[in-house]
Amino acid sequence: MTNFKIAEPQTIDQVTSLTIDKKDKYKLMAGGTDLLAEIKDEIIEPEVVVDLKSIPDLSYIKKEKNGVRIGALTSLARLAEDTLIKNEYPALHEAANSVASPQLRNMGTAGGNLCQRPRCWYYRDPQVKCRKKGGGRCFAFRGKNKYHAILGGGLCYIVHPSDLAPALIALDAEISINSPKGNTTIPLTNFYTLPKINVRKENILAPNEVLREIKIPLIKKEEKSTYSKFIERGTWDFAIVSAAVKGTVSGGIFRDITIVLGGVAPVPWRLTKAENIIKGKKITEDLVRKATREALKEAKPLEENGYKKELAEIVLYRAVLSLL
Amino acid sequence: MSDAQKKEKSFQSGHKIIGKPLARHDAWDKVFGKTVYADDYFLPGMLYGKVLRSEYAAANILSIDTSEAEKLPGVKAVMTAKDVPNNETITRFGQTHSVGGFEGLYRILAYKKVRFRGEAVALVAAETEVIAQKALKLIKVDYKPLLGVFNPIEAKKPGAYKVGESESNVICSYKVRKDDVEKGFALSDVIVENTYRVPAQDHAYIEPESGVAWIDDDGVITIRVSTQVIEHFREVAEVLGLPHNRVRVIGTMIGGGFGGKEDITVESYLALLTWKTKRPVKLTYTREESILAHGKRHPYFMKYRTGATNDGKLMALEAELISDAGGYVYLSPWVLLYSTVGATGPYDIPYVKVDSYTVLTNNTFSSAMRGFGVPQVCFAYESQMDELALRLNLSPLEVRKKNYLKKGKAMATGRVLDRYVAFPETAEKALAALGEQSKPKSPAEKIGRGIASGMTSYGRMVFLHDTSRSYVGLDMDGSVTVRCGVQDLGGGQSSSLAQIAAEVLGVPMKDIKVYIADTALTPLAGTTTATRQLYMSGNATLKAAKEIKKNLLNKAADILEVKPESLDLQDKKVVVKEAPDQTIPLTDVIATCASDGIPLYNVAQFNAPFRELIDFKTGQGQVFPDFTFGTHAAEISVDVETGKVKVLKLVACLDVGKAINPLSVEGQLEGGTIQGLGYALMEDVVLKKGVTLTPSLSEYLIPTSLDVVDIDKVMLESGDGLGPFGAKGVGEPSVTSIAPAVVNAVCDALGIRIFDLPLTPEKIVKALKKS
Repeated sequence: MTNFKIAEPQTIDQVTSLTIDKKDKYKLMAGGTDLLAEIKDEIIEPEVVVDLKSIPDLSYIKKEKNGVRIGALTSLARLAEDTLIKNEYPALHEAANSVASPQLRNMGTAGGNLCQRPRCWYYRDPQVKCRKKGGGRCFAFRGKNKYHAILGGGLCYIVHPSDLAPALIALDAEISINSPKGNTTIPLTNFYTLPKINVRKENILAPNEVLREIKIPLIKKEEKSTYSKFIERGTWDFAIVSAAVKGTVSGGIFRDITIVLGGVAPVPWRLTKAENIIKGKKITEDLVRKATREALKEAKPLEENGYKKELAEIVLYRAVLSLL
Repeated sequence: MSDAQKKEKSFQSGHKIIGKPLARHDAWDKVFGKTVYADDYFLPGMLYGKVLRSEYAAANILSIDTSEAEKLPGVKAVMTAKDVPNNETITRFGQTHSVGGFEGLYRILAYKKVRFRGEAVALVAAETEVIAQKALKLIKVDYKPLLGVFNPIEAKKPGAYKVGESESNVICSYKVRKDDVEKGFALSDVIVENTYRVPAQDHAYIEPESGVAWIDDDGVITIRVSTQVIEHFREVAEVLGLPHNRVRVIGTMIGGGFGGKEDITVESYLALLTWKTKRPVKLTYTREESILAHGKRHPYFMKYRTGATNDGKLMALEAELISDAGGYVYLSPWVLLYSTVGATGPYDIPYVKVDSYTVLTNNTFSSAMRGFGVPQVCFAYESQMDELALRLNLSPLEVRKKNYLKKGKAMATGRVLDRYVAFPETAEKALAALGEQSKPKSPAEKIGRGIASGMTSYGRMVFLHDTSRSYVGLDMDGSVTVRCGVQDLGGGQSSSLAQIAAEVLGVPMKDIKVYIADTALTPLAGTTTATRQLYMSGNATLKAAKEIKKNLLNKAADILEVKPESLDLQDKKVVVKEAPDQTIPLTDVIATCASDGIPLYNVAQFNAPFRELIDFKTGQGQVFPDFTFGTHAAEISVDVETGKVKVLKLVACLDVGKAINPLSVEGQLEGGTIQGLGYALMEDVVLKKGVTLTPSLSEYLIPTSLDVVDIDKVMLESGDGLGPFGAKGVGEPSVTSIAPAVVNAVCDALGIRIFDLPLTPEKIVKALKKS
C-alpha cells in the first residue's frame, strides 16, 4: 500500500472544485469498504482520498410527497433497518440486508454500493494488467470464468457486484449527481455503462462528480417488490445471480412488472422481453422459465458460466412466485 | 454421553481435575482481546521486513538489480539469494534419526529459477512498512518466462517440463502389496471403479504468518514468532552458518495453525534481516501473501477399484494416488506416506495394491494440513464403500460392519491393531444420533444422509523416534511450575499440561503456571503437529509430576510412619487413603523435602515407540504409534433446482480415549468438522497456470456461522489410548471423515455421485443434468 493524503471537504462544491484538474490522483471515499481494499491491494494508488463523510447531512432517509429520498452516505445497515423501506420497498430492504456482513453494512453506504468496483479475480490481482486496468486483454475470456458475465461482455466480462442497483432500478429510482458542469438527476438505469462504452469504468460518473442522492417514486397501489440473491454459502458473498422484481399483482397476474438481474452482466440487466411475456398472464413456472429463456437468448456464456442461464430462470421464478 | 453421565464416569475414575469441562486458563484474555499475538509486539528501533515474490510460476531469473531499492531513504537492507550464507538446504526422511528414502531441496530465496508464483525472491528491511513496500517495487528482476507444468499427471509423464533443475518431477512413490490383488478381484462378485479428485485447501487461519526478531545482549538471534515448530531454530541457525544455540525461537500464542505453520514461515527472513541490519525487525504477511506463500492441503487424483463378494465382504482394493506437491518438496513425501498407509481405511481387505506418487508442478507448494493426506483418501474409500453398498443392495452401515477392522486384526500394511478399535461402535452411534429423518420443505428439496468412518494416526511416524520433555517443579507454597516447549495453537495444549500436573500433585489449577515454547528456557517438546502434544508432552509432564509425587509421598510416609502406597495428594494435602481425616499440609512435606535435599522438581523425557523403516517394496511394517477411530454422520438437503446444499444435522463420534478436558475435545470436534465441511462444500484454491485466483477471503470461501448447525459431539472414552490417562489425539482425526459423510448424504438425496470436491451448486446442477 502506498501513502495517501486525506481531504475532508465540508461541502460537495468543494469536492467538485477540488478534484477538477486532478483526474485519477483523487479518489472519492464513502464507507471505504471497497476503496480501501483496492488501495491496500495496490489496484489503485491515489495521492488523495477525499472523505465524503466529512460533508454533513448526506445520510438520511426522507419521505416526501413525490417519493423517498436517500442520502448517498446512508449506511447499508440503516437502510436495512428502516421501517419505511422495509414496508414499502421490500426489494431495497432485502438487497441492503443481503450485502456482505453486519460489520460491512455498518461501514458501507448506499452510494458506495452503487459505485463499487467489480470483483473479477483478474481485476483484483495487482499483477494482472487487464483491459479494465489499461491492459490489452480480458483474462477471463479464456481463463477461469465461472463467476463472469453471460451478457454484455465482449471487451470485458465483469459482472456488476452491487445488490442495491438491481433493486433500485426495478423500483424506478433516480440519482442526483453533483457535477462542476451543473447538477443533474437521471434514472439510475442510465448511470451504468457497458464495457464497449468505456472498458475502464462501470458508470458515467466523472472523477470530479459526486453521486449525492437516490430518489424512489412513491409506491403505487398493490405494488410489491422483492430481491432474491443466490450465493454459494449461507451469507456474505457476492451474487452469482440475483433478481429484483417489482410489479402490481392481483389474482396471480401481473398488471405490470419490472425485472432486473444482477450477477449476469457488467451492468444490472433489465429483462424487458421477459416482462412483456409475463405481463397479463397467469403465473406458472413454465411461463417464467420460458420468459427468462427468451430474454436471455442473446446470452453468450463462456466456458464455465453457462449454468447461470438456468440459475437465472429459477431465481427469477422463485422471486416472482414470492410476490403472488 | 450426557453431561451427567460424563460427570458420573469422571467421579468413578476418582479424578479431581482430569475429565472436567474446565474453561481454559487463558479463555477470558482471548475473549477480551488481551492475549498478545505475534503482530502485537513492537520493539524499540524496529524495522519492517517485506518479501518480494515471483510474478511468474515458472521462469528463469536472468538478473536482479537491487541498486535503486538500496538508494531509497529509509531502506536498511535488501537481500537476495547471494546474500544468504546457506541458501539451500536438503531435507531428508528422519529428524533426530536419519533414515534416508528421499531428498528434498528447500531454498530460502529463489536462485536462477522460480518454481511457483509467490516464491520469495528478495527481502527488504526499512524504517516503515510503506518504505519497505516502495523498495520492493524498485527491485528489478529480469525474468525469462518458461512453459511450466500445472497438472501432476502431465508433470509425471516422461519428457514433461522440469520444475526443478535436473531432478525428476516425481519426488517419490510408495507401494503397498498384500497378496495378489488380481486374485482378490477374481474372487469378487462386484467391482466398483472410480476416479476422485480433491482440490487444494487453505488453512485460512485468522492470524496470518507473523514474527519479530532481534539480537539479544549476548548476540543470540532471537525470534518471537507464531509457529507450530519452535525447533526450526536449528535450520535457521544453519541458514546463517551459526551454532544452533545462537538462535533462539520463542513461540507466541497462535491464531490457528492447522499445519500451515509447521514449515518455516517468516523465521529465516527475520533472522537474515536482523542479522544484516543488527536491528529488530518485524514481518507480518498480508492475507493475500499468506495464501500465496504457505503450503496447501495436497490436491490428489485418486483411482480406486474396490471388489466385494455378493454378501458384502471386501475382497480387493487397488488404488493409485497422485498428489500435486507444487513447486518444492516440503512435506509432500510424508503426507503421501500417510495417504498410502491410510488408503484402505479402517477395513479388513485380503488383497491390496496401492501405488502412490507425489509430483512437482509449478503450482503453490503443498504441505501439511490437518489430517495430513488422510482426508483425501478417506473421501475416496468412503465414497467407494457407499457405491458398493448401492450395488450390493446393503445399507452403508451394513456394508461397513461386515468389513471394519477389529482389535487383533492387521491393516493392509501388516500392522496388527493391538488396542480397542471403536468400530462399529462409532458408526452405529453416529447414525443413531441423527435421529428421525427430516422432511423436505418444498418439492425442490431432497433430503439425504450419509456416514463415513476414518482412522487417523496420532503421534509421529515411529521411525522418526519421537521424544518430548517436560519440567515440573514445586515451589515452597505448593504452587507448581511447568516448563515445556509446546506450541499452543489455541487447542488447549498448555492448559492440558496444567490439568495433568494439578491432578497428579493434588493442587488446584490456579496454582499451576505453565511456561511454553522457548527454545532457550523450556525443555524441548517437539512439534505441535501430528496430533502429538497431548500424547507426547502430556506423558512427559505426567512422568515428571509422578516423580515429584513419589518424592513427596516417600517423605510423608517417613513422617507418618506408614507405607507410601497408602498415601495420596489431594487439595494441597497429603492424605491417608483409608483414613481421609489424617492429613499433613503439602507445604509441610515440601519444607521437609527442601530441608532434606529431596528434589522437588523433575525433567522427564517421554519416548514414543521406536521402529525401523517399513519395507518400501511392499509397504509392510509399522508407521504410526496408534490411531483414533471415528465416524461422522450428516443429514443434508439439496435444492435440486439450484444445486445448493444445506446442512441439517452433523454428528462427530470419536473414541477420544479419555477427554482430559471435554470442552477442549468438543472444540476440536467442532472445529475439525467445520473445516471438513468447508472442504466438502466450498473451499477451493483456484489456480490457472499457477496463478492463484482466490488469494483473499472474499474469493476463497470458508463456512460462516450460517453454514453450520449445532454439531452433535458423541465422545466415546475407551481409555485405551497411548496418551496420559488413556487419552488419544483428536486434533486431526476430527476432520478426516466429515467430507465423505456429506458427499454420501448428497448422493443419498440425489441418487447420483460427484467425484470431485467441493460440491458447489453449479457442479451439482451439472451432474443432475447429466443423469
